[in-house]
Amino acid sequence: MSSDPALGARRIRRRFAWLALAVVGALALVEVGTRVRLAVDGRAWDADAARAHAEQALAESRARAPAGVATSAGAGDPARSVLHPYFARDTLAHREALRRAVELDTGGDAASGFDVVVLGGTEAARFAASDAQALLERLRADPRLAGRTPRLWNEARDEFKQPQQVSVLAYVLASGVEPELVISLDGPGEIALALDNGRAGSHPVYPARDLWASRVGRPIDDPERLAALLAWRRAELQVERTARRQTGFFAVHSAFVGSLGAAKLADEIELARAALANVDAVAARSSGDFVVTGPKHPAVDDAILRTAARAWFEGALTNAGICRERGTAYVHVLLATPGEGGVTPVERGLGMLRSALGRLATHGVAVVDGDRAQRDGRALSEVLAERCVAELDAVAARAARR
Amino acid sequence: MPAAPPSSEPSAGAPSGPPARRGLGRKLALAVAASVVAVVLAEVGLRVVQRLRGHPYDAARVEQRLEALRASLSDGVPQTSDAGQDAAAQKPRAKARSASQDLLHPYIGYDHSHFSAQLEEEFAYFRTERSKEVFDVFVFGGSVAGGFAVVANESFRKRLADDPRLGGRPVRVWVEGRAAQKEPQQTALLAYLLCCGAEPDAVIALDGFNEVAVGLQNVRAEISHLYPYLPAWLARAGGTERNRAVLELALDLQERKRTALAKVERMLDWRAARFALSGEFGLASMERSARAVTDGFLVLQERLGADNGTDQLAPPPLAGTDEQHVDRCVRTWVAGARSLAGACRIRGITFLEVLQPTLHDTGSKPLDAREIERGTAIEAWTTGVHLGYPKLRAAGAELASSGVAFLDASMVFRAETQPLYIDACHFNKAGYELLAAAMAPALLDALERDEAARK
Repeated sequence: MSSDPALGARRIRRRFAWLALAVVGALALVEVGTRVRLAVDGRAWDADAARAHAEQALAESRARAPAGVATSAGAGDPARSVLHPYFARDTLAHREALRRAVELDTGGDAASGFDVVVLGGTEAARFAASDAQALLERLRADPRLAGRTPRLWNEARDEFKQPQQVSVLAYVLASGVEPELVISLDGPGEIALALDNGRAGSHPVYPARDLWASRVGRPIDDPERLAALLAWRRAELQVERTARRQTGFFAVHSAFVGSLGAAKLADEIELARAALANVDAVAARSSGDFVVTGPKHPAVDDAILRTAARAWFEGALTNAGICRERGTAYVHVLLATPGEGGVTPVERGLGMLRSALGRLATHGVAVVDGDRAQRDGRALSEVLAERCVAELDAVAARAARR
Repeated sequence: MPAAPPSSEPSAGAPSGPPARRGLGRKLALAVAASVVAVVLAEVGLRVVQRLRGHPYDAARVEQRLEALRASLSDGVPQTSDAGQDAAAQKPRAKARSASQDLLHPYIGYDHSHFSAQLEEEFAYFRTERSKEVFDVFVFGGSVAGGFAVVANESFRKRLADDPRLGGRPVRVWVEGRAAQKEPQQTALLAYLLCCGAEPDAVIALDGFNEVAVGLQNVRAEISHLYPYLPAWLARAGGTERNRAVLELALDLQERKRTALAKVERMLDWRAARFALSGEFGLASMERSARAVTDGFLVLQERLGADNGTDQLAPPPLAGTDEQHVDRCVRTWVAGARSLAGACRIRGITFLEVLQPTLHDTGSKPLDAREIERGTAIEAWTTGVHLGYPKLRAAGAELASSGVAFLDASMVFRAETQPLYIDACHFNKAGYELLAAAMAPALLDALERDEAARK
């Protein structure tokens, strides 16, 4: 047997050449066959159309988005709202007012002021804006202020309820403001807003739905929606990869490669659309994620009312404790509660607040019963002013005892 | 003479099978053996090289670093344990099952998703009779507080439960620390929990570091120190996923997080740190994955800032020098401690404020080379600690003199030469145990004083 190495090498080279020729021939045949088949089917191969189709698929992929998600950031983006980290929502006006309070209370003439902070919801904000003048007049006339100017800081905000009043107070104090007197006015709003929350699936202690649920609830915060979104994102990435490949030389100039890629691209687009439909379906059946609704809570009126009353009591007690620790006077006003003692859920809730008011008093918290003032035919501001002055005396007496 | 037929029996001692197969088998066996030898040689070689370079391979260090990476990827701190549960159930969950996300929260800015389940469990628990028997301790603060309540949970619980002053009551220590959180978040969280029905018997605030370090970091980013840790807040409050470009970045970040977390959990499950080869190369790969997560986060953060305008999401800081900014951070910490104390005192809950130790607090611990290497921190943090810690100590003393139970634990590692820090502010188990040893008697003393005051 011949063992000539040159002969062996020639033979191998020849074999490779034949093999390469066969492959090229087969590819050419496949390419021609594909073009014939496409022509017979009435879809003759068009390189420009193939490239345009891939580019369109890419553009469409970029334009697909789940419901509620804009494909680009716009000036009218509904997410452009002023959220607050500690009490859900704030206004620029309040922010500016607090900055002023900090500057005044930590500046050189801090001692010349007598700072009164008003906390609460819509009614408290209205009271601070209009009816609090009687209180300020009374304080101005009080000899203990001796030259100090009473300054009222309206820290009440529309639709606030506990624990937002605590959060506001804690934030004001953390900012450096040390008020001499803190007044909370609330009650009816706590019940109405908690019922509204609870019946709609939100936790009663979460902020009012108008303040919170309508402003948050982003898809990525819900684990189920996130999983669906990730699946959709992967599918779209695959579409983009394939579409880009389809604009490459071989995909454009070869009917065989291009039509295989086109079929793959079509399948992937279908998968991406299905994944997107799944994202929207998951979002639609989700009654609200944890971010929006908070912890689970029974959507039963009695349970909601108990939770609301407890939150109100605990919030008021916390504020009283925070103030007492600093020697700051604190007065809590339960606003007039028409219909208290009745049978509607709101009326039952108000009854619970009234009994909680009694418990606050037993903890030594200075309280004002708005209903009683109304029954006695006295203006709330007048009764409040008296209570505030009495509480300032009590605080001074406690300080003296220490 | 006819030729003898070939025997079908193999001769004694000869390998079975045709010679070609035998040859292949031998070659395969040789290849496997050579591979094993090569791996062993590489392992030995790597260890020798490291030793010659003065850094012998330390499996514990790699394991700890992997744990730290896992903690940072899962954002944190697993659940609590119950005094009444059996031993297996008592162990704090060793690892997060999946990447925890920061969720927007109305009262503390953001919360970690794994706390949502804990909250529901917590509220349900406090409706039970069992909660009346148990001495429940809430530990508030940032990730160090969270880590403390997980890592030192058992020993801290035992130290309390064994003390006669608790009269044999079982003890449960609750994880209420959240990564990067600082005042007024602790106060806001306590207020929220109380409103929802929580009834702790004792509250501890283990904090100080985030207040001055993260507070100054916010200021450097032109954001009020009062606002939450900026990246977490911006990422959650930015209304991010309402436009597709940001949604993509957020999803890609999630994907990177999940991949990295799966990888580090695999490495820990396989105990890759046992071998220098798998430990060092695996850790290097893991560090790359963690950097990819950080990069993704930074890209997202930049995009968020561009899309949303940070001015609406957080107010700018007041003007001032570093000294003045840090003074404000300290004032916020004091205000928080007093608010927590007041909220507790009016209910008869015992409160203890603890100033946590931290690596960059000069003179607080003799640091070894590894601690120094790992303890690198951004300028705002080191400046915040250098300026802030002396002020925090002084403010803490004033708190104590005004009647707030205060433990200055900032120097609790002063005489410890063993490595305790795993990065700029977190400790290993030994560190948490030392802290537990200091905190338990302080809490019991505070409890005793409160009871005496009530009589």
